[in-house]
Amino acid sequence: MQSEPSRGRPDHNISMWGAPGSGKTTLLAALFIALTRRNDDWKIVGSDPASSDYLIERTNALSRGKVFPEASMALERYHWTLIGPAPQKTGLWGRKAKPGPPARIGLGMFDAPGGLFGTGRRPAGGVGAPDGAGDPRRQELLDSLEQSRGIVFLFDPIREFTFGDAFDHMHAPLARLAERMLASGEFTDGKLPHHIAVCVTKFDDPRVLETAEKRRLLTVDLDDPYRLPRVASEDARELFHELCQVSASGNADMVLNALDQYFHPDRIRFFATSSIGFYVDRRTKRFDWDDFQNMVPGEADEDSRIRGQLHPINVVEPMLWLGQRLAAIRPSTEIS
Amino acid sequence: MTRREIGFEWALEGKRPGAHDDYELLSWSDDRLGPEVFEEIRSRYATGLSADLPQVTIAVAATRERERVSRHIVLAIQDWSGHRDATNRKIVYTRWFYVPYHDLAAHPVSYAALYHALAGLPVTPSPPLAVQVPEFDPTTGFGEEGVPGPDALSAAALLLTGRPVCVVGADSVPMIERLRFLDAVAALLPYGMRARLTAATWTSSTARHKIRLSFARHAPEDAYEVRWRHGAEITRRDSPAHVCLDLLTRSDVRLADLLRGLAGETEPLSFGPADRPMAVRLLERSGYPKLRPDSADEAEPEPRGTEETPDGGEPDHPVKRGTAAPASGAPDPPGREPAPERNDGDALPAGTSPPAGNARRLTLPVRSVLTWLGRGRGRGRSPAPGAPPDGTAAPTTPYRRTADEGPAPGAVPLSMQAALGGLEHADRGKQARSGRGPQAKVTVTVAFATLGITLIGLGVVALVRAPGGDPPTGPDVAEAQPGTVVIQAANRPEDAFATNVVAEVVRRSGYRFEIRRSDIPAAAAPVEKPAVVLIAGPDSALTGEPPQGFVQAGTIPVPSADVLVYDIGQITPEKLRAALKGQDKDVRVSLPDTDPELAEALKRRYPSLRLQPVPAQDPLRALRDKVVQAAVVPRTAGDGGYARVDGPDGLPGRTILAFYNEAALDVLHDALGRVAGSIDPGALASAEYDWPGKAAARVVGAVLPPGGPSVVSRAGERESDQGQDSLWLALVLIAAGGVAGFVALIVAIRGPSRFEPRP
Ligand SMILES: Nc1nc2c(ncn2[C@@H]2O[C@H](COP(=O)(O)OP(=O)(O)O)[C@@H](O)[C@H]2O)c(=O)[nH]1
Ligand SMILES: [Mg+2]
Repeated sequence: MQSEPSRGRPDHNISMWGAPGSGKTTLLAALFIALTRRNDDWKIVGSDPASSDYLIERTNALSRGKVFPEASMALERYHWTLIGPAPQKTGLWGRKAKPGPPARIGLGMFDAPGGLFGTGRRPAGGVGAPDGAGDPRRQELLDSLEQSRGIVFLFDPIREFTFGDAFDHMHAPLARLAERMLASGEFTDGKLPHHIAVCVTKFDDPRVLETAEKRRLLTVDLDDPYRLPRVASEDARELFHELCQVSASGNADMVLNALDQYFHPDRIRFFATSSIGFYVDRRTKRFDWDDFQNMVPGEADEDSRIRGQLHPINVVEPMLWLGQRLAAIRPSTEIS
Repeated sequence: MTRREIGFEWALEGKRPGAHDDYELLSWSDDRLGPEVFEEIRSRYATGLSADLPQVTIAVAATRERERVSRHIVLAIQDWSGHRDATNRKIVYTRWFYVPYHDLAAHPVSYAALYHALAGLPVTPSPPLAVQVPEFDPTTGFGEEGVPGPDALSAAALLLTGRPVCVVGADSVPMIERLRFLDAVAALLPYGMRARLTAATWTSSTARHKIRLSFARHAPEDAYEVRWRHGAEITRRDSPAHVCLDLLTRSDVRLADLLRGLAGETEPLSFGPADRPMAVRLLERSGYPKLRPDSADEAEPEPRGTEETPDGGEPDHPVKRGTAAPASGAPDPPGREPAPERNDGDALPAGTSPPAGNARRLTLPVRSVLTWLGRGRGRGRSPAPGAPPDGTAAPTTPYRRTADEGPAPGAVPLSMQAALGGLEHADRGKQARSGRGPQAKVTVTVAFATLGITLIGLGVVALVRAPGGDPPTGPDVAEAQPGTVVIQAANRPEDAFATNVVAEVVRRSGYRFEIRRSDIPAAAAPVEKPAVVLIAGPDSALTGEPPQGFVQAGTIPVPSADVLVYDIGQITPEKLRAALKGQDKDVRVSLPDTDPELAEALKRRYPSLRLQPVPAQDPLRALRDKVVQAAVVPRTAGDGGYARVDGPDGLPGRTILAFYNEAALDVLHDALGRVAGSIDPGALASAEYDWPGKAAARVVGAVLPPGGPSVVSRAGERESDQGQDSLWLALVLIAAGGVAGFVALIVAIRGPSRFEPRP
């Protein structure tokens, strides 16, 4: 697979990892809303018409239609640019302050159907490598991973509680990635060159929120008008660890070990994420412990819905963290 | 119509209801093909998921079993299954049907006919696995006009360059019409290319796919873009696509003969560089029915559909038994010439050149294109490296045109000219450069020198004749050159969308528009000047009669100016929809008290709803207070973050009737009617209708090409501009002449004596 032809090659590629249904597509769909809700000046702009369309349409579907995206069937790639606030440069002796050029981070984002990360069980009588490396889409996925230096790994605690297969969805691509990095000589110090943002998703789910509450991991940002509970990034690892304890397979702990084995400690960061956030009553405009569920699970033949407005939590943060870290390593002006 | 029995194998891709896992193969026919083939093909030709189902993908599969290659045309139908997965997402079924190509070669059928026959089957068909499909009539299926449109013609011509082609601007066109389009394009190619043609009625613009002929909202970077109903810009007369286009639109060939000829060419052909010259030849040869008997003894083999000869080598890598072949059905990788693709031993019938006696009749610069096609990787005259040793694919004899014959005029029959429409425009510059002979230097020098002299001469003439920039006066000019179309609309913000649509149509037709608003548009419309009047449709109380001398141009559907929003905590969308259908009587809805007309209309239409007026300043109040479950709010007021019902399920839309007078008819023709007819009110409401300007540009853009600069409307200005123009023109011509002369000098002194073909 060749790299993207002339269509403006993004500065930094980021892949979304995670089991089917862990919330990858929803996270991307909520990105625009999440940025608009922040009061710093970061914006997201499509770098090609198709990627812009996606932002517009998904934003509309979430905020107006109140529906989640459909399950993905192909490896989708989006090219976006994060445009930051113009830094205020202080002139000599603090006199005339001249705004510098805004920070720009070009992102190439890969969103694959979660099944491709799995162990690739084939139907009866199937042939091919046990991890399905012969599958053309899997191959494409691996290529995309190789091109990326940022990974957003989505850990769905609800799925882990029921199935406990998060480790399976991390282990297979990780092993393949390591193999390729080794071959290309980028595994020199025994760690991958990648940054990884580990997002514990569906933080708005009562089971997840209550776990965090029991462990006293919740904080409230005083600047937040809605007073939404959050878990600080430093504590998110503990939340992750805690949620691993209830894994159906008991394998979740291995995710932590694998992370430590493959990535530099300062290139791992944990986030407690919710793409839709908590429900906030329109009148009180305050988080309410008695009525915070924003997800209305559909019955029988109905779509699951989003009840009120979206208040994404830690959706932008992992992207910005990755974007800024990657930009620091390889500024966008550099030609690679 | 005779029907043919076509056998098939199948596989079903989906998820089990309530599944936590991803899409997988659920079940398949346990016949010759194994699940590995189905797995590979479903993965390789994934197109993403459209919100608008069903969609159809045409794929191909080649398998090798005991040294026999067998080819299949694969038709995949994607549709909702009616089930949901563990996170309540709708499950899509993709049903993959594998039809042996040799059956289709013996009994050609169209994709659309195949789709109709297969779509009705149960999701897991049981034996006997065969369907009745009407036989193929290659001469039908070209829409109302009965001839291929400019889009189908250019798509077929561009496919013969080996690069993928993507059709854009067809978002609101029904799937079945897009499928027929794929058939129309395929009908313009030798039938045998279907053994390798991959096509889809929809592809995700953000997924990288391997479909050769696709529909998408945005064309991929590596593909030619063809605009629905308009085609592509293919102008360089020597470009291969242009040559193919000329072949498809020859004046001395009846379309029906051409199509029948192509349909008879059922030998499998690839889109690779080795087979493309053959395809072009077949194209050239088709349409001369008289010649066919003669050429038969020139060793033209009968289609050997049922005979699978061993494969000559690597052409499309039909693989070991039971395994699917990698993608030679897929387009060449972007940005480079396709990798050497050796010919199938069986793909090229020997001696496919038409008899020498017919060469006279072949009046097109086919040789140049054959040379280009054959040269993909080599030097001009020698056979392409991929060609079989007998050299049948090389551009040789009976075809060789002598240099003095020159390129023949691409005469196009009248009916075709109409169909060709916007094809003849600037080149997209994507074609490969062709090599030139050793005399190039002399020729180029002479050409530039001649050009220079001519331009200077023209410039001097123009300078002498320029009126010197004096703006002439005279009111008569104003009437003679109307450049402005008046759009007379009602004074209501809700009509902004319809007004914008008309304005955009006018603009794209190359005219200026002037929007005039009045309370009764019909009364204020000018009669002599080109004018369009917009009048509320019969569903509104504001409807009226068109003025004298105006005829209806079209009906523009307009979503309602209000939307229905609801509190999802209080009522489910399903319940609300049931209430709108009159099945649930206990739903309370508030509406602004300022609109008694709307209240009346709603009462009439939804007698079961309990309507409750609220002050118009705060239409969401009752909803916030949880007094009602849903509220009618003006679009402009915003939905306050509540969920809303829009589109076909929402409040009833309205229609605006557009009338035009004869003067407007002269400039707009049927553009307005076509645009109006293409608007799908359902799609419109959901697609950001809240910005009427954007929404209008979008619907018009789907039908009409982007407009040129509009004609200047004021006569004085125009004339004065013309005076200036000719002065400028003169200077520009002289300057260009100077440049051309200079270039001639440079070329003469230091140009290479030969332009090397692209490596
Ligand atoms: N409670 C909650 N549920 C979510 C959230 N994001 C996604 N989901 C649920 O998870 C399902 C799968 O999400 P999706 O983004 O399609 O997962 P993907 O398969 O990883 O792309 C959605 O349909 C929702 O039901 C979230 O932030 N909160
Ligand atoms: Mg997804």
